[in-house]
Amino acid sequence: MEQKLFDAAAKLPETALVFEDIDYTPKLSKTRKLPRVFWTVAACLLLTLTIGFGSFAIIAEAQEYQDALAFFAEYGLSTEGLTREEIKAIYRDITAETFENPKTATVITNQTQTIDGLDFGQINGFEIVQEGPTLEQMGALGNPDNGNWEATPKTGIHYAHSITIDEQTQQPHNYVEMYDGELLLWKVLLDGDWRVSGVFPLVDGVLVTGEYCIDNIGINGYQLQEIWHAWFIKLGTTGQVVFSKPFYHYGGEAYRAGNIVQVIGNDDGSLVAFCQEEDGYSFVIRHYSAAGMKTYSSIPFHLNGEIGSVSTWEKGYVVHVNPASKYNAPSVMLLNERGIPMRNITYNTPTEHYFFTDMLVANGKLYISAYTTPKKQVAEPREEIKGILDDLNENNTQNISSTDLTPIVRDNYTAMLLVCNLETGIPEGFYSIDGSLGGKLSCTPQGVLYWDVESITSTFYSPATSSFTIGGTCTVYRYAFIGQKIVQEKTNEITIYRR
Amino acid sequence: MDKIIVGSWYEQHKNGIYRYALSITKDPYLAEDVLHDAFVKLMSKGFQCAPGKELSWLYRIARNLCYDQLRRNKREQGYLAPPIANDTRFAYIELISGLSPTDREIVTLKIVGGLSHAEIGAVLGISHRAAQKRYERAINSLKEKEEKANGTKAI
Repeated sequence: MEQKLFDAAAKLPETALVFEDIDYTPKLSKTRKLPRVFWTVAACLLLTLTIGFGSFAIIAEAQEYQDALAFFAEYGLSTEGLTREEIKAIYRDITAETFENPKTATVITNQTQTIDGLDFGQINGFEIVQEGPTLEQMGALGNPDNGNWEATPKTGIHYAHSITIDEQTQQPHNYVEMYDGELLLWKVLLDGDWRVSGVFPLVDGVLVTGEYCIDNIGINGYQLQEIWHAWFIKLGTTGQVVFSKPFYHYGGEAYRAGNIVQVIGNDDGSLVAFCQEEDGYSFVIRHYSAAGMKTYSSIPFHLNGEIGSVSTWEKGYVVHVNPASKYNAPSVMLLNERGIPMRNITYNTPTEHYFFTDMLVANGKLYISAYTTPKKQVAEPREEIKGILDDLNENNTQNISSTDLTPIVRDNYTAMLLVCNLETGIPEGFYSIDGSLGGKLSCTPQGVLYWDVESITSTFYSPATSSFTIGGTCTVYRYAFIGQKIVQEKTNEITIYRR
Repeated sequence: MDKIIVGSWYEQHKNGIYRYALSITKDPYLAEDVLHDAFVKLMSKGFQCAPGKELSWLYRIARNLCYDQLRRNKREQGYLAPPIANDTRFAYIELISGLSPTDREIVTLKIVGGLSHAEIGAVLGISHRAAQKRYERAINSLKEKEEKANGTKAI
């Protein structure tokens, strides 16, 4: 073995370094190498810093990802199909209120459960028999445009908006008025140029929404250029300005025109605003304090229609959505407490069109007031009254009287009160009344539900009128649901019917 | 130190020190650095030892420089570095790779450097009898390993 080692060692390469190549020159002190200890410490420090910064980056990224997951869970959003980077990007897009990520909108609506259409064959209903109008009633009211009737006077505290034109400047002046019944308590002029779109009563005043002219940028030739901005102003119970501020639909500094379409006032003066973008259907829910501070904003998403009635309850929001096209079915969207759409139910049957008139959350149920008309095979602009018009054309009755026309019109309509499960939006029962249109809903603190139904009382045929073909009046019947009992009251309130 | 003396020492022991450094660093370039620096130190400081101990001293310098190099380059003993891994000229290094680091040095100082057991002991800081015993044990270990690999047994 030893010989083998000697033999192998002899084959090891020899050095190519010659003695003359060895650098024996003494090194000058300034070029002297730093002690090994220094370099070791420096290397360790650099390595520590590198690892430290690298670790910091890793920790920061991991923390952001965890924050994003917590955010998704809090809002009830699904991360299915999203990469880690996409989850973080959407989280940043929402929290920064930029809403520019193309996947953000999809994530918001991804978990929405859609139910298209209802099957009333499986739902128990109750027909409320209502006396139809007498011949005298059908003939007496006639054409309301001729001044044969007066609007039913309002009662209690209510607010109104009015406009007067300055005789000298021809500029409109916008006023907000507070009434107690018919008694005017105060009248306030809104400063500047306004286009008022809504007046919403609050427990401590009134919220007025619309557009405000923020600048007249001079006259360019013969055209005055103006800049209008979405705006909302709160007046207190004595007409004083509580706050007046611009409205940004997307919450950020970049202005995007939007409207506050519906408002629900809370007992502490705070309010919930349901907002929709002016040139689109982007929908957002906004909370404001009594002083006008924004306290919450949901994530905007596309709403396939326009906001109708709205309600809130402990688990979220209920929004009635009017379809973009009248003869598409209305729907109810159930949103969680973060404003994320969870369910979307379209109210539609194979044989009837549904038209919502009001919606209310009360007594743990979702109540929908609506009316139905027969569904024809082909939708037409006046399909709601097509049956009536077909009848008139077949009989060539151009001068039909109210007493003859009113039964035909009443046959076309059925008022419906849907009693729905609040969590699913699915009707569990219904009440129907022939010859009527569903009206407003309200509920007393004691839990008594009131359903106002507009019973078609008189009608007239006006084929030459551009804005409507059939007009008339309705008598409001109020139905009180007290336990198992339904109490009918024929009120003195008259409403106008035009189709 | 006188350059002629250093030159004489260099010519006489350059390959031994180079190969010894090669067996530790397993890198021809590092081994050459060790050789270079060992003789630079000799030139500058002279033999820092008692007369007759020069060779031990030189190899000890080389040994220290090897381990300095390894620490600097974060290389570990016990494997063949890529420059020599597949070169048949380094079969010796492969042969002793199964020994412990100290035994590898003892065998190499003996086989490659031609040092006596006493000189080996001086390089490693052990007694010459310990150096001798460990050398004999290392050789026997390599023999048994070879016999096991060949399926034979020396009688």
